[in-house]
Order: sequence, then structure tokens, then C-alpha cells
Amino acid sequence: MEPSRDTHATLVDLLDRILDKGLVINADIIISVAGIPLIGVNLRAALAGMETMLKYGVMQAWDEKSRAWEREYRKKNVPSLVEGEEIVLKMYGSYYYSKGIYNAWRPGYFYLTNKRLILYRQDFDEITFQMPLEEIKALVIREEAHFVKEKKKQVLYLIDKQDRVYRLSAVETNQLKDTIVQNLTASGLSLEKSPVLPEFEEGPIDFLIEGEEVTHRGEKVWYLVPASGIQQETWRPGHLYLTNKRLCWWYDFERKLVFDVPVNRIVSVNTEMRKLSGLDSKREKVLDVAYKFNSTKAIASFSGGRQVDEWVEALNRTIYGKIDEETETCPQCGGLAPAKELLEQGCSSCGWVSHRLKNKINKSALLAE
Amino acid sequence: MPIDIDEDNLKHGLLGLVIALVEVIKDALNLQAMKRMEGGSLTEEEMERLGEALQDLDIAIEEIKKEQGITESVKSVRDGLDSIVDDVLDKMINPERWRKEAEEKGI
Repeated sequence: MEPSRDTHATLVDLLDRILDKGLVINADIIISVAGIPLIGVNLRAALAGMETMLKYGVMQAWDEKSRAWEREYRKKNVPSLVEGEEIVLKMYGSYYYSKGIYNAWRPGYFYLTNKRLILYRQDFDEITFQMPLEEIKALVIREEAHFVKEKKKQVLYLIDKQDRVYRLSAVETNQLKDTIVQNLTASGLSLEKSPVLPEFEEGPIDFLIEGEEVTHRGEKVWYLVPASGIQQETWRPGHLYLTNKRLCWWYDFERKLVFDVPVNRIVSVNTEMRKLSGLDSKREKVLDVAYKFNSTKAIASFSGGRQVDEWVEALNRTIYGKIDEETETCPQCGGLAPAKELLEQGCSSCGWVSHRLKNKINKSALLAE
Repeated sequence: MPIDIDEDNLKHGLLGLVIALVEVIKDALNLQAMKRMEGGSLTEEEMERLGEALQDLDIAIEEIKKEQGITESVKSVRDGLDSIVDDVLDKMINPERWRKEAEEKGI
């Protein structure tokens, strides 16, 4: 039989041949100028398909190791499922965990299987939340304030058969809910039609001192926390409370009062359109509260979008509430007194009485006689 | 020679070349994958994963070609590359050609 050559060699054939046989380059190069060696290159390279490499015993340990690592990684990637359990949906999301002083949204991947809803955290190979499908009594989606600006966050409230309420949030909360509902219906389970949601108290009121009462509160308000140490002044989210004694700002993240000032120390309340950050060129209405502090005046700034006007009104009502009428100076002694009192009763310090009032008194005295 | 580059021209030329090279690498990988599978060191699960990944790559490339309408130009680039390889190899390892060329030069 004659050896014959297939006349149609292709690039792939060439590559395959090279990889199959293996290519070894062993080169020693010296670059010299004017007979003087200046640069030396000592090159050793081997190129081959992995199977050929292994055949010659090259990179065997490496091959083993990289495959073992991948196996390990893949095992960790999925929460351990019980037999007959199948994953229906995987979605990034979080679950509100609250115990003692610890309160946080814990992130992870939601895995919806035909048996359970699981929140799984890959990095720690940990299931942080799980709920058997048949334990789910009701699902409700509610919009809640997000800590970023005025964006709303959709929160899925899951109520179980023991009437415990869980708060979940996902990238596509609606889709998560719909898929859960579909799966429940598929397995012949049904949800309560119009469940009653227990009210959640977002802001805590346990900072009140005795005899103190909240007179005004609103939605999220940002406070410009003054610079301290290396920390520059920054806007932080929280809630503002006006009580009959103090104006307090509660910091949501650290869950404590960061700012409070007695109402009688507040000097004035102003608003100003200001840029809140360097990134955003939009101007927002900022509430500036000036108050007496260690015999000087300090200013606290708050921002809260449309609420600012309500706060101005509420603060003014509290600060000037008792003397909301105009004040007048007494023409005789120059002392300050509310205009109404001055006109109807006369000056309390020097006894001055207006002409009209004098006439009135005289008239009534005449009538009495 | 003036080089005429318009959007279409560039797409067919450059993208065609890139995809053609990717395809060549993909084919080489496919062949090596076959060899590894035949080698017998891979587990069942690894083989399945490898097969799936290569299939995904196949589908992705086909989709790109269809979307961009460059199936023809990719094919012509590959044919061109193949004929160059064929020619060079032929020159290097075909004794008959050596003889013919020698005759032509009159050696």
C-alpha cells in the first residue's frame, strides 16, 4: 500500500497535530553588538494538548488539583437538597433578620424548590432562611422606604402557619412571589386570600424621657452629621422626632439618638436650596435649625424632600406657639409684650393703658354709676 | 492603494477574522476534549460538564454569526487560512513538489 497525503490540510488539522504531538522549543540566544554579548535569552517552552502532557508526566499534579478545586467549588455552590427536591428558581435577595440588638437584611440567593424556599449564602455554605412550602400561609407585597434617597423597595411579607411574619426582598420581588404562588398551586396548596399584616414600627420610640411626648414625626429624614475625627461631614438616613421637650434625630443604622436639642434652645428655623452631594447637581430643600449651644449658635441641617415644609411649620408652631401673636413695644416704658395683651389689658410692667382702652374703662365706669 | 473602510466593510473583515480565529481555536479545543475523554481520566460528571460547555460555545458562536450576518465572510476567511496552511505544508513536506519546482528552475 502506498502512503498517500491528503492534499487538503486545514489550519485546525495543523493545530491538532501540533497539540497532539507536542511542541518543544529549546532556544539559547545571545544578542551582541560589535561582538560583545549584551542580552541573553534562555527559552524553554512546551506546547501540547493536556492529554499529551499527561502522557509524558507533565503537569499531572496541577491537573488533579484544579479539577479537585472545581469539584469542591461546585459542591458548595448549591445548598444541599433532600431527595426528590428540584430547584425551580434562583434569585438574589435578602431576608430581614432581627434578634436582640442585631437587625439587618442578610443577603444571599433565594432557591425555590418544589418543597422549600431557601435563602442560601454561598460563601459560608450556610442556609440563613428556609420555609417549607406547606408552611406558607400568606404572601403580601408592600412598598417600603429604601435607605437610598426616595426610592421604594418592594418587600415580600411571608406569613407562616404559626402567624410568624418574615420580611423578604429580592431582585424581582414580584416574580419571586408569583413563582412561589404557582408552585403552591401546582402542589395543591392555597394561600389565604386577604391576610392581615401586623403593623411594623420602623422607628423606635424608646428614647423618650419621662413626660415627653412625640408631637410631630414623618418619613425618613437625612441629617448632616458633623465632621468628627477623620470622618467628614456626611448625610445619613434616620428619623426626626419633635417632642414637647426636644427635637431628636434617630440614626437608623446605629439605632441610637445622634442629635437632640431642647426645644427652648432652638433659635430659628430656615430653609435653603442646596446641593446635597458633589455627584448630584440637583438642589434640594434643606432645613436649617439654629440653636443655642454652649453660649454660641450651632446649626443642624436636615433634608427630607417634600417633608421639609411640614417640619418648618411644626417647628415654628412649637417654638413660637405660646407667643404666636405679634409683639409690640409699650409706648411708655419700651418693654416687650404681646400686642393683644397690651391693647386689651395695658402694659403689665408700667401700667400704661391705651386711649381707646381708657375710654372704654371710663364708659363702663359711667354706666355702672 | 486606498483602503476603503466603511462600517460594513470593517464588520465583515475584522469581525469575520476574529470569529474565524475563535472558531479555529474552538475546533482545536473540541478535538482535544475528545482526546481527554478517550484518555479516561475524567469522571462522568466532568465529561458531561465539558460537553455542555463546548456545546454552549458552539451555539454562542453560531448566534453571533447569524446576528451579524457574517457567516459567509467567516467561511471565506477560514478557507483562506486553510489554503495558506495547505500551501506552506505542501511546500515543506511534499517531495513531488520539490521535484517539480526543481525541474522548473532547471536544476
